[in-house]
Amino acid sequence: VLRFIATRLLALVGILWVLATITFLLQAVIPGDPARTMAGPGAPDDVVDRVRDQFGFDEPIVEQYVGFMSRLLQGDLSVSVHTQRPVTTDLSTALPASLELFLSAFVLTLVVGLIVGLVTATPRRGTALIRSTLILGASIPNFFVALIALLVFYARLRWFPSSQRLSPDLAAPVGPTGLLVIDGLVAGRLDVVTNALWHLVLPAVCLALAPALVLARTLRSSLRSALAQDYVRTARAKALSERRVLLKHALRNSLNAPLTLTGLEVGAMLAGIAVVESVFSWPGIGLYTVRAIASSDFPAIIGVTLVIGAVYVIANALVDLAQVAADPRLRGSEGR
Amino acid sequence: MRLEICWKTCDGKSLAKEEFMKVRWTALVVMLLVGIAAACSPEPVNEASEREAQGGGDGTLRLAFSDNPTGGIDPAVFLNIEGEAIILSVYEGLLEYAPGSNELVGSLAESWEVNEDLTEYSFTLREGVTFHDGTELDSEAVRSSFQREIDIGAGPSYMLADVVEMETPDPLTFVIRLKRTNNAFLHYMASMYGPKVISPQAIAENERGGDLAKKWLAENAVGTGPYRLDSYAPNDRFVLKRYDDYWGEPANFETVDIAVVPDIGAQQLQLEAGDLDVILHGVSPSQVEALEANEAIRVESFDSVIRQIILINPHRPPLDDLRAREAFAAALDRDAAVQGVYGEYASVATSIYPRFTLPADMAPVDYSSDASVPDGTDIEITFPNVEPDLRRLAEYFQPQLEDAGFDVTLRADTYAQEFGYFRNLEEAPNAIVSTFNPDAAHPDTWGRLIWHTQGGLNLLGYSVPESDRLMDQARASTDMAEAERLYAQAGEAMSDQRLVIMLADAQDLFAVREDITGLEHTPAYIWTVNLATLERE
Repeated sequence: VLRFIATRLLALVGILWVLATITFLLQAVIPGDPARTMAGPGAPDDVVDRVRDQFGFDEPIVEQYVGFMSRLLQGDLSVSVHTQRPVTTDLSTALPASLELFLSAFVLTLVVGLIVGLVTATPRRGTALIRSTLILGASIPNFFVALIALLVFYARLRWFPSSQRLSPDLAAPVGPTGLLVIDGLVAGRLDVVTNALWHLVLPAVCLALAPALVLARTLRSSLRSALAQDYVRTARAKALSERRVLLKHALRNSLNAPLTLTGLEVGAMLAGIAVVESVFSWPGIGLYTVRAIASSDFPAIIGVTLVIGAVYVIANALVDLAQVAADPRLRGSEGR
Repeated sequence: MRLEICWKTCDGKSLAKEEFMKVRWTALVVMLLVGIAAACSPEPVNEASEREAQGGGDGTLRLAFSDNPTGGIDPAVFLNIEGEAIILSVYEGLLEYAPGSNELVGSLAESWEVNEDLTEYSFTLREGVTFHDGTELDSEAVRSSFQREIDIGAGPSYMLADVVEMETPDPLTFVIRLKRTNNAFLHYMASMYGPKVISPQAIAENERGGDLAKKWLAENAVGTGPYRLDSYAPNDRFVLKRYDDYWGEPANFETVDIAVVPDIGAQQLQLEAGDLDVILHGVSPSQVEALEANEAIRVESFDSVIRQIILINPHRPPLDDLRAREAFAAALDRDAAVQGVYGEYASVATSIYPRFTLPADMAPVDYSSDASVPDGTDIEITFPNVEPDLRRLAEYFQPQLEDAGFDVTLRADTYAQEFGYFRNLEEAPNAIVSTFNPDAAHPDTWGRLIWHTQGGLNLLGYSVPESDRLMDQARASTDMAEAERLYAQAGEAMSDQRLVIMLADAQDLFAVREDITGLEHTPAYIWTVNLATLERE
C-alpha cells in the first residue's frame, strides 16, 4: 500500500508539473493582454504599463517561467487578473462549493448507477425500452439537461431554486468545511441543511445523470456476463436465493469495469461542473474557470487546472484501491 | 391456479414476485429522496413569495450581475461596468448628471465655481452629510479620497492627472487646481468612474502595510450614498441596505440583493418566476417581444452613450490602404444592419461622437466613396464572443462586403483577446465589430479613449497627428463652443481616415417586473438605473 501511495504521489507531482507548464506556455502564445484586463478597458497606457511591470508580464518568457515555478513551489499561485485577489484565496472560497456539488453528484452517480444496473441486469419485459432510455439519458449533454431541469422544475413546477447555494435570507454558518450541509449539521442549523440540500438537488442531478446512466449500462453489461458464468450456475444449484446470487456472487465479480469507468467519469464530471455551475450560478470553481477563461485570467486558469488535476489523480487512485478491494486477484499489482 | 408474476434472469431462471418487489421498492425509495429534498425545504414554492409577503416600498429589491465586479469595488481602482450599480449606490462624487441628460448637477457639492482659464475649481460641500460609519463629510475627506486615488494610480486616476494642488480652506470648501486647462474636468467629477469620496476613518482603520486600504476596499465600502454595503461575497451575492441617515431622499427599498447569475437565460427565468425584479443588462432587442409576452414583465429602454463601432486595422493589408478602407466603409448598409439587429432600440450613428457628448448635428458621418477593391480581397473581421448582437451585425455586413469584392471571414474572440491585438498588429484582424462607451458625457472621453495616439482603448495603434492636435487644442479651450468645434474637426480628421466606422447609438434596455416603478436612468451611467428611486407598487 505504501508503494502504491508513493507511486501515485510521484505521478501526482509529475502530472501537476506538466499541467502547470502547459498552462503557463499557453499564456504566452494565446493573444490577450492580462495587464489591460487588470487595469480596466479604458485605463491609460501608463497605468497598463505599470500593471504589466508589477506582475512581470513584460519579462522574458524564461524569466517568467522560473519565477512562476518558484512561486508555485511556495504555494503562491499569484493574483487573479479578474478578481485581483490571490488565486489561493479565490480557490479556497470556490472549492468547498464545488466539492459539495461534486460529492453529492458522485454519491448520486454511484447509487443510481448501481441500482439501475442491478435492476436492469436480468431480462424482462421492457428491457429494450430500458436500454434505449439508458443510451438516450447518457448521451444528453449536461447543459441541455440543466436547461430542461431549470425550465421544468424551477420555472414550471417551482419545486427547486434556480441558483446559488442558499436562500438569501439565510446566513451560512462559518466553517469548518465550507460544505454547507456538513457545516449546518455541525452548527445544529437544520434550516441551513435542508435549504442547502434543496439548492443542491437540481445541479447535482444534472451533473450525475449521464455518468450514472453510463455506469448503469456498464454494470448491467458486466452483470449479464457474470450471470452466464459457471460459478453462478453452481451457486444457483446450491439453491441460493437469486438475490444472494446477484449481490454476493455476480456483483463482486462484475465491479472491475464499472469501477474503471467511475474513474474516467470523475474526469467527465469535473468537466461538466463548469457547465452546470454556470447554468445554476453555483459559486464554485467551475464558474470561476469559465470567468477566468473569458478574461484570459491565466493565474486563475493555472490554479484551477492544478486543483482539478490533483482531484482527478486522487479520485483515480481511490478507484484503483476500490478495485483492489473488490477483486483480490489485483493485489500485488497495485503498485505497478 | 395461482397466478405468479415472475421476472427472469439471463439464463431463464425466475425470480419470485417478492424479490422483484424488493428491488422495485429500493428504486422507488431513491426516487422519493428527490421529493424529500424538496419537501424538507423551508420554502417549497419559490423565493418570490417571501418578498410578496413583505409588500410595500420596503422589502427587498432583487437584481443580478452577470459577472463579479472585476478587481472589486474600490472606486479608485474600478474601471469596468459590472459593479457600477453598487459603486453609484454606495459612493458619491462631487457632481453627477441629472437623470436623462448630460446636465451637471451637484452631488456632494452643493455649488461650485470655476476660474476663467478652467484651472481652479472651488466646490462648496453639503452640510450634514455623513459616511456609513457615522463620521461627517468634510473637505479634508474629499481631499484625502482624491489624493488616495492619485497615489494608487490605477485606471480612473487619469481624471486627476492634471491636479497640482488641493486645498481645504474650511470644512465645507474644497479647492482643486490643475496644471493646465481641461474643459472635461467637471465631467470627470460626474463620471461613473470619477473620484468618489470614501470615509477617511475607514481607510485609516483598514490600511495594511501602506496599501491605502486597497485590499479592504476591494470588498468593503464606506461611502455617503443612499445604500451601504451589507455583505460582499465574490462570485456569489452582494447585499446593500438602505442608509437611514442619508442626506437626500431615502431609498425606497430597504435591501438590495444582487446575485451573480452569469447566464442571461437563467436571469430571464428568474425574472419570470418573480425571483428577480430587474435585469440590468444583457437583454437583446430580439428578446423583447418574448419577454413582454409575459404580462408580469415590461422592457424599458433609455437613450444612452453606448455606441457600436467597427475598428479597422491599418497595419494589415488590404485595409492598410485608405482606398480599401473607403471601399469597406462605403459597402456597409448601416441602416439595414442596425434596423435588422436592433429594431427600434438603436439608431444609425449620424455623428462621430455618441449622443450626449456633442450636439448631434456636429461631426456628421459620411462614408460615401467610389473606391473599390478587386474581387476576392480577403479580410478577417472579429466580434466579441459574448455579444450576440455584434455577431449579428457582423453577419449582416458579411454579404454586403462580399458584394463589394471582399472575401470575409468572421471570427469570435474574447474581450481579453481584443485587448491583446496591439501586441502584434500585423497579425490582428482587419476589423473588429465592437461596442464602447465614453467615460463621461464629454467628447474628450470618447475621442481620446478610442483613437487618440495615447488612448486607453486605442486597440489598433492609431496615430492621426492632426486629430490628436485638434483634440488637445479642444480640451485646452476655455470657450466650450470653440472646444466643440475643435472636437468635431478632430473627429472629422479621424473619420477621413476611415479607421473607426460609427454604426449605432444603442439604447440601454432593462427588463422589469410590472410592479417595479421609478426607473431613473442617466445616459452616461450605463447598465444601471438609480437603485434608490426604484419602488414596488
